[in-house]
Amino acid sequence: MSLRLDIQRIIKEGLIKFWRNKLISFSTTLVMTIALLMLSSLMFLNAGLSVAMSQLEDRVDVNIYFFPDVPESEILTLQDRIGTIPEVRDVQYISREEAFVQFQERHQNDELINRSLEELGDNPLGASLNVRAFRSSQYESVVNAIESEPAVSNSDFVERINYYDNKTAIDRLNEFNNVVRAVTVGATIFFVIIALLVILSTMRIAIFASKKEIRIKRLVGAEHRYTRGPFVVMGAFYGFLAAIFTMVTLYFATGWVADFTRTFFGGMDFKTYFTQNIFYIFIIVAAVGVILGVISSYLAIRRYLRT
Amino acid sequence: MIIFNSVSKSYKNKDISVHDIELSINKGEFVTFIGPSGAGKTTLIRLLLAEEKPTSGTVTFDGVNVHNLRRKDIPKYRQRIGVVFQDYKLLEDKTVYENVAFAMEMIGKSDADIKADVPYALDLVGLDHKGFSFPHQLSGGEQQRLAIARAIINQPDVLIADEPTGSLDPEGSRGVLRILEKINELGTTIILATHDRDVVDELHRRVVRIEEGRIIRDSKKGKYHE
Repeated sequence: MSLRLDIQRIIKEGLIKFWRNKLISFSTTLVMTIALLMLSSLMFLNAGLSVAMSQLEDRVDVNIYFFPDVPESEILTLQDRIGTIPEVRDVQYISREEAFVQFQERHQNDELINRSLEELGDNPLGASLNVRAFRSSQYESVVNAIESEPAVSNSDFVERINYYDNKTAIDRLNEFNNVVRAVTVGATIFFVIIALLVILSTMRIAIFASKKEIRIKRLVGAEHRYTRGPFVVMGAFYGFLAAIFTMVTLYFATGWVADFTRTFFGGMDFKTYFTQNIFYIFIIVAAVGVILGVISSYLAIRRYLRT
Repeated sequence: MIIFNSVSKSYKNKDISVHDIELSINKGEFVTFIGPSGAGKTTLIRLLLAEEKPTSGTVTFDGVNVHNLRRKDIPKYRQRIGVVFQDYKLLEDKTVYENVAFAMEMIGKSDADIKADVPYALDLVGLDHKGFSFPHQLSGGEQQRLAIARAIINQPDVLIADEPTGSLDPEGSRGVLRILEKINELGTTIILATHDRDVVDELHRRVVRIEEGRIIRDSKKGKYHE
């Protein structure tokens, strides 16, 4: 028999089976929807935490302070060289003048400092380079790379690198980041297992209702693909339909929690995240739904196919 | 064609069993298993279908020990045997037409063949007007005839009918017998299990009497009581 005809018949029977067993189909799809909602909530939580963590990381940087008499050309050359370090996201040059203006702005209400500056009569500040890495955990290697540059190791140029002042805070942030990621991965694995077990149990109940049919098919000589195939198609269809229900629920649910999540995750709200990534989210949810449906129906029917 | 060689089957905590069965059935034969309920007729059928394994002895079909078949080869083997089960074993969520068509689909028949043969088979058993009905919408007799249509649609080498007239009136029983005889004339081996005396006497074919799991009589052209 042609494979195409075979597949066509199996799919058709799976869909007819889905339609004729409406109550079982509805209840199974509902349970799968709940499981998919649980998993997609983790996806949103993950995204929210990533945004919150990257915002925290954005606040971390390393400044290289130069002595006031270091020529600007040396600093700009170093800026270019630091920019080529793979872990470096950007390097910003702050000239002596800019540093002075920023200092004045920061201390405009401080009488003592303003008077001291007037007495000095000159800009006492040196230029600096503000370096930001992609991740907070990369600062140590970035600073090592910077320190190996001749212009930095030359003690006549660099007055100070503030990494060592911030090291404790950066290490704490890294630790926190690692804990958050580990907890998120652990929670994701835990809930994926729970979802798989819930779906598997539901599918077993759904297929248990058809055990007589399975036995009859085997007795009249149906090969396993004809017995198992329609159930697997049905499982896939449950998963796909559950994915659609999940997307509809997420559309409303993310709207309800938008304000709360915007405050909680520092500017990111779930509604915007959902609408901006709707296609991507649907592909993931549908793929997970279909794969879980197929696997669980395949496993659930296996016991009835043993001779 | 079919040989039961010293076959015994016993069940834990059950009285139904067969003991030391020696039986040979030739191609094209019409054999009737008779005996009271619980005598072991259905057990023999289950052993032949490789649904059960014998405690001892062998069952061979065309020289092959059916209980040595690999699991993946059993469906192909069962496709060579049409069965009318005592409890019909119809697919409840398929229509009458689909129940018969399914048997053809699983051996890979084309849609054109299915469209041509299913109405013919349903006409043969008098269910041509019930194609869209579901089994639960049929009477017992109609379900019986549907089971026959499904069993014969692929022209099996052997047709087993386990109490096929159990729920039929005398006229319905005669109709079923006519169908079985006709199929037998076309070369199909028939194994009929029944405890209906009238049916056996009317057929006047080979009769194998089983009681308490043993063959106590095997007559070439027998009657229910001899």
